[in-house]
Amino acid sequence: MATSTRKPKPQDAAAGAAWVPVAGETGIRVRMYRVGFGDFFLISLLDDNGAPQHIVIDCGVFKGTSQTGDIHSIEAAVAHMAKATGGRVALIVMTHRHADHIAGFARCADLFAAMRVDAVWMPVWESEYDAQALAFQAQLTQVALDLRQHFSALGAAASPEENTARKYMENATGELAAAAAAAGSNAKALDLLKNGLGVKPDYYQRGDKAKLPQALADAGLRCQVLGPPPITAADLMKLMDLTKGVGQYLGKDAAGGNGTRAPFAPKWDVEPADVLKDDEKPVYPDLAFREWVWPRKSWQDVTLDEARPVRQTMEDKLKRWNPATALLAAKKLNAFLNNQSLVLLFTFKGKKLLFVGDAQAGNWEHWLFDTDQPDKKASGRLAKSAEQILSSIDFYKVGHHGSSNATPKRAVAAMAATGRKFAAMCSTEADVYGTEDPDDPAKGTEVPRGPLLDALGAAAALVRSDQIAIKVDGKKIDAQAPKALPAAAPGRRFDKGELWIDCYL
Amino acid sequence: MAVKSDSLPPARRPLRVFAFDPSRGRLLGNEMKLNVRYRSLVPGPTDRFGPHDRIAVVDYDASRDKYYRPVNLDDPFVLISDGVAPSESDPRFHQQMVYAVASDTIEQFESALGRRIHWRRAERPLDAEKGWRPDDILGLVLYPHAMRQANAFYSPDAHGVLFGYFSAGDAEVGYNVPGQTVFTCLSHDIIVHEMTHAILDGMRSHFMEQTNPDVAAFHEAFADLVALFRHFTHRVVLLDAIQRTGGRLYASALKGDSLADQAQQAWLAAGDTQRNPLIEIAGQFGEATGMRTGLRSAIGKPKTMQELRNTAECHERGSILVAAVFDAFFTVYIQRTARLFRIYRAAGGGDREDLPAPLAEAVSDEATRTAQEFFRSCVRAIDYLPPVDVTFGDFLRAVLSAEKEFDPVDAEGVRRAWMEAFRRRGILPQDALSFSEEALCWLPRADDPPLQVNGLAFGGPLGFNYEQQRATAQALRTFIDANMETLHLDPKVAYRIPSFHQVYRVAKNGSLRWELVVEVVQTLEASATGRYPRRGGTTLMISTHGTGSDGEKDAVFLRYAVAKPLSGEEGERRAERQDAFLTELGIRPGCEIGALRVNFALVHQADSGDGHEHA
Repeated sequence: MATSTRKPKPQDAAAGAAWVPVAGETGIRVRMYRVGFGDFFLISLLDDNGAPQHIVIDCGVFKGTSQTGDIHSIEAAVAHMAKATGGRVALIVMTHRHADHIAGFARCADLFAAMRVDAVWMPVWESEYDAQALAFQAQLTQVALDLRQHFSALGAAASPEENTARKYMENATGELAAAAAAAGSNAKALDLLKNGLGVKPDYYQRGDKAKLPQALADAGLRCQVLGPPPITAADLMKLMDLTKGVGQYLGKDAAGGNGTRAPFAPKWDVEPADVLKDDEKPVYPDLAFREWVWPRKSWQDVTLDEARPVRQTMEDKLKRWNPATALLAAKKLNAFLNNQSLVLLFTFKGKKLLFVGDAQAGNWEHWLFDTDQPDKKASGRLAKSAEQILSSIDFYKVGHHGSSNATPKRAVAAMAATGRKFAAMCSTEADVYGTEDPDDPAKGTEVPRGPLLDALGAAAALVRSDQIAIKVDGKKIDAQAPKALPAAAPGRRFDKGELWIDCYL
Repeated sequence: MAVKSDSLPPARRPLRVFAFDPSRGRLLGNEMKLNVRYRSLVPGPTDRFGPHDRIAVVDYDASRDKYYRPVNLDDPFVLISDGVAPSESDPRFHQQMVYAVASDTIEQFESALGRRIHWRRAERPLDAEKGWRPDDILGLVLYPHAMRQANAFYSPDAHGVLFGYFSAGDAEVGYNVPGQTVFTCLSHDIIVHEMTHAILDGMRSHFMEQTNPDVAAFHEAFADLVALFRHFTHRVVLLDAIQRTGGRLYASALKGDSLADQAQQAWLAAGDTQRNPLIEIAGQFGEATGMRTGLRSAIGKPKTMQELRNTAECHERGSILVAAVFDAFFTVYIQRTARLFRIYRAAGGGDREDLPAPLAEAVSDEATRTAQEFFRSCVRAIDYLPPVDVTFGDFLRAVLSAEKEFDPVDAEGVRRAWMEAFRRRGILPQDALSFSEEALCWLPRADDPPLQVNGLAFGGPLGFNYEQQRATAQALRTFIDANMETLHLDPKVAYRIPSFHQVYRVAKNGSLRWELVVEVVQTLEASATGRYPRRGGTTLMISTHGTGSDGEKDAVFLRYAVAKPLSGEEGERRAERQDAFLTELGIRPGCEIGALRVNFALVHQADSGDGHEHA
């Protein structure tokens, strides 16, 4: 345990070892387990009796493009957490359904099932009471499975981009059965969270009033739900029909953005509807569509009446078989799932903690700018409420493992504006996704993103999970980005454990 | 729209095409005429009839959801000028070129194979009912402008080949204007390449299943080889290249004209070195995507087996095979032309002079003849390949075996050239004991007496009719059932016969032989293996002739059984290797066998983002 641990009060023994806050601290401990590429956080709050109350936020890991994201420490981490909490957790939060946030619930289902949990929170998209959300998640899973298959079939021929897209899809579906000993599909994790913990989950969207478990409310915790945007939000709504979206985007993006640039003069164009229109002299002969007539006609002539209905069969095949479309759909789907992230602002005895899951632009914009409309430009004023929150936070869980698409520059600027240093934790594993650009740091795609961490590091006391070495089953796992923990300051200190980093506030 | 005429139908239809692509302009025979086989056509063009090798050009653009007006090649005004004149802005010329080059490619294959080809047929069980399946490709559909994308690919799902068009980059675009539209359907190479994928898929339907790293690479390499060998039949271009390289056709650059020798210092256009178009693939496409050269080149430094192991990207891997074949080709070409150069020098000709026209023509004849022979060797070898899990080593075995059947003597050392070129690149059949010809050919059956196959039908040169097909299938089943072990088939697993076809061939000594090539395939689905699905199978060569025999009446016997067994020691070894490979690819265990198929749409896509090519 932490070196600063004093002898715990006797009544806390059953609930695990607690600690005594030092001056400036209010009794908050955020523990970030090092699990590889994924999030597993344990927040412990000391109530008025000095007894800790626990919140688990996500528990997942994913191997990523490099296949090295999973360092196989999550089982040990969950076992440790179960012991440290005495098997009693007031609240489990699942921010969104990506494997790197939920795989641990599936892999360690038995441990979780044996725990006593008062409440489970999920984003509104998981709600089985909202037919729209339900249908959408089902469709999303199916599309993810299809795309995953599509990219897998490329095998060695896949480009780096396609490889990454494939990993996105695996993250969206989780390990499928029998894939490995450490298998754990997302379906299994969701099943545990929804049905296996003896408590019905609560589903939240922005603006909902959070119902805190009694123990946490009594301890003095408050919580504001900042995301995800409601299902009705315009920017998300237009992506509702994913399969249809694939077709829709084809027209625009495959044409290089501006849509209608024709390769030939207009006189050569023929509208599909006109191709077989004229009985006397159709533009195309009926024979051109022989291939699609069923039952097949290998020798016989084809009639116009047979050709007309099958023309569209052919057109649809060509539209669907556009590889750019598949890549695009994969990216959209991935961003969409990230945007479902539950974004929570906890307030405890005056200290504010912001947990953003993997929220990307759409999710952030909704509360940063208080808008229903997507606004790609970083212009415009931040909403007053957002500005207020960001300028006063004490703790920030860095979004999306430090990737460049999940912490808007404007947000960093707002957090840094007051000049007061807050604490930030980034659960990540270097060299799992993307690559640095050795010549131009502005062009890299690495996760975590160098310039973002630099900016955050300047504004905050920042730690990342892979800066410490850990030991699992006697085997040492080296630090990926070794660095000493930031020095303690009044009301904020870090401490290293065998599998984790603690932040006391 | 049948043509009414008092004359008999002509044998050929002349059509104008580009020898390379529009970026080469009108110079040097780039605008050429292909005399394709005459077929009755409807606008598109679409073949009205055709046994099994019909094609249809349908100009639908999925990116714009528009059709383009189809060309009518029987329009008298079009006929009188040998087809629509070359033009980038007239889609009818594009349609014509795709049709002409595709027809020509089919014909080349058919003449090398000695039989008609057909397109992909869906997988059916042994006792399948008669009749077509929705997934059978009856006529191959060619889409000249299917999408706005730097890509062209064969898609069995779309029953054809999709050609894309795209805007050239803004910088480093070679002969292109920045931002100009580049049409993949105007690249002779790309059309031939994609057609070859379709033809090969029709001949060997399991060669798109990636069971080892060579499979997809083989498809790519083979398609490039066919396209490259076609270059050596473009006579005007070939003559020019021979004159400007002094016959060194392997040179990567063409020598400038004598007056241009100092033009480079004066920054004149005439001083630019020109790349040798004969040995590169898809020049315009490569330049337009910022690669400064053609997409791929036929020649590269020999790579070792070790490097081969580390190369998983299928085009790069395939390029090693292409380089090996071209190494052999140039060896033979140099041998054959050496005599001509000796005569030339004996008469006072010097090495440094431009070749006189008659010599250039004689050299050019040798180049064309050699290229055609090599193309034939490659194509004929397909019949000698196992039905599944092909490797580069298998290809070498197949080439040598087919060559040995055709010409047992090999006075010119062609097979030696093949072996040497493959040896230099470390491409070795896995089970070969030595690098000798005996060890590298498939072992012919040495049954005594030969294993006779009874009750086979003899079809005419156009193939079997329905009754003959039935009779042949029945005879084959009786034979296979009785000889499962001998044929390295697993008696406990059901088998299918994806294809059988008869081949009439004339050997080099002039003797006519009849052969029946049969694919037998066995499949274990993932549910049976517990992990990945697996295929095994055997190619049977049933023949009237053995080596050195004159053939015997009514004695048709098994000559080769080229096997990739499903079970036994070798089967286990293959399974292990395959599973490791598929795991590496990240393919989900328990998948269906279809998941192993290559998707050419993504293999061929050019990644416009960073200038890397995947086409």
